[in-house]
Amino acid sequence: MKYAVLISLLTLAACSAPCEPVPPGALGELTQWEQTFLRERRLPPVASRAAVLAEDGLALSFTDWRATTPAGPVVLLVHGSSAHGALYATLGKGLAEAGVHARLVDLRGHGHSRCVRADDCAPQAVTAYIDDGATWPGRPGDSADAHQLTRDVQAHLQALRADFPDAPLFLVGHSSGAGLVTRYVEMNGMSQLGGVALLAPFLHADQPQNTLQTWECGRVVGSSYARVNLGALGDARRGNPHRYVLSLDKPASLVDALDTLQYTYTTMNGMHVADLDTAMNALTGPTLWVSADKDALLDLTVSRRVAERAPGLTTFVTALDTSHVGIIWSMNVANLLAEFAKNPGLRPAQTLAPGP
Amino acid sequence: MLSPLLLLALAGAPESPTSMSLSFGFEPRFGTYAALDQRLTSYGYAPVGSAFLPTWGLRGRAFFTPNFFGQLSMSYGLRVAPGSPAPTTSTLTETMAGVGYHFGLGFFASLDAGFSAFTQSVSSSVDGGALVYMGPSLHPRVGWLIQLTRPWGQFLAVTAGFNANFPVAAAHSNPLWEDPFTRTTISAFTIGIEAGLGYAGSP
Repeated sequence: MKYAVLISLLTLAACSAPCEPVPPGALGELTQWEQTFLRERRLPPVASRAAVLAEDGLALSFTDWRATTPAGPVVLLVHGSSAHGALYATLGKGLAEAGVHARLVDLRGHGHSRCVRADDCAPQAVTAYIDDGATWPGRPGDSADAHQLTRDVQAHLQALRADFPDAPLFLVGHSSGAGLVTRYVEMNGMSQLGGVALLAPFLHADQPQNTLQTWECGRVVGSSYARVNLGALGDARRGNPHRYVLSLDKPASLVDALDTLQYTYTTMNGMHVADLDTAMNALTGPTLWVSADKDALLDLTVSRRVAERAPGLTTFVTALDTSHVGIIWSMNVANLLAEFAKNPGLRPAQTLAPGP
Repeated sequence: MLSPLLLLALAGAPESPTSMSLSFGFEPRFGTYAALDQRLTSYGYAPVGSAFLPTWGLRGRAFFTPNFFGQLSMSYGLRVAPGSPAPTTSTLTETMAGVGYHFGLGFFASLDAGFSAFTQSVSSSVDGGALVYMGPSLHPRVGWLIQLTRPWGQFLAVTAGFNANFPVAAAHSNPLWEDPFTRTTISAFTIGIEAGLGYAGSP
């Protein structure tokens, strides 16, 4: 009898064990030069802004970094998840100084292309993400459907083509922004483009390159940076696609007031490829792939293996002593992008020295 | 499952106050099995649609005195509610132990306690899984029994009772369900008919 009581108590104890809470966010350790970059606030100030009107009337904000020598190639640079264009000013400045016109966009629902309410599109921090399934143009972290972000990229490319009728256009993306760039190529091909450059690309949620974990009794899954609420995901899949399903949690030292830290189902899907095989096969034109050797989110070996599936891969570059975030602070990366835009021909795999 | 040798052994056991019986029962339940229907429907799953759950079981009794007995039982319930893309299937598995008393003239009462696992498996066009409720259960009964061959042999009994099970913790772990589908009690009235073999209490 006493054994039966003991077993019952153990069973009840196991059933009521507390679930592991979601830990604070992390993007991996910054390297020494990245910490110095952050501490000394070396990000160049952003010049004046302009906007392209989207299909639904939303003003899609961007910043142009004008090349010192005109008639060079043109780059459209797409930021990663949670970020916005101003955080990529190092690359913009470096490209411009190297003779490449760079347009740094704020994707809809991000940075200055964000409306905290349907009638309020002034740039301001989001104080609360109200997960009521509503939608409006520019809602933080939201888009009308999973293809709207690629249509926005198309709008930017058309505007650039109008401004630079003869220049070769290049698409550059970082992290999930590279996911969106690859999705654009998956949907539209590369005929309009001189090439694409993917910086630490996150391409597909079904084939993550980082180790996934679960918390809260399996109701939250992801990395310490990006977590999917599976309950909200289920609701989104059942017909409420404007639910916030993805949380992006950065360490305090990296959080910016204009960050967007929640994504709806539509935007989460819109920022990575629909089908990895199709997307990789669509990269038929010149493709530059840059991975960071200290990237805590993406495995370098897996990244190289995925990159080699692109028929148009011209170069796989490993940025040394560089993290997932630091790759966008590196002037060496900017110079590499400029070199690629000017001459996207085949090169052997190479490494890139660390540093800003 | 039920060895003929065991039946023979039971039937041939000497007449004694410490005798035993084994019976098979059909014990339909009418309970709160459809309590989640509104939520199931909102999730795109087929509703249970009925309080009825047909249940079958085996029960063994051992008499410590001519009137006082202990019993062990196993019950299984199954009902399928049609739906698209998949039906909602309710299953109940219950194991219990209890005590009872014969008052004379065939009337008896018993109280069982045990463990229940009640599962409703569901599916919609986008997800699916099972709501599994596990926890302790209680089942008081009253009944009337007629021994067809005295004092040993075949007997029939009819019973009425109330079953309550108390699920512990969350119903399931399918993370695509935002709603935990928590239930504190699943209760049902039961009626049963039982046919058995062996000693079934003092006349």
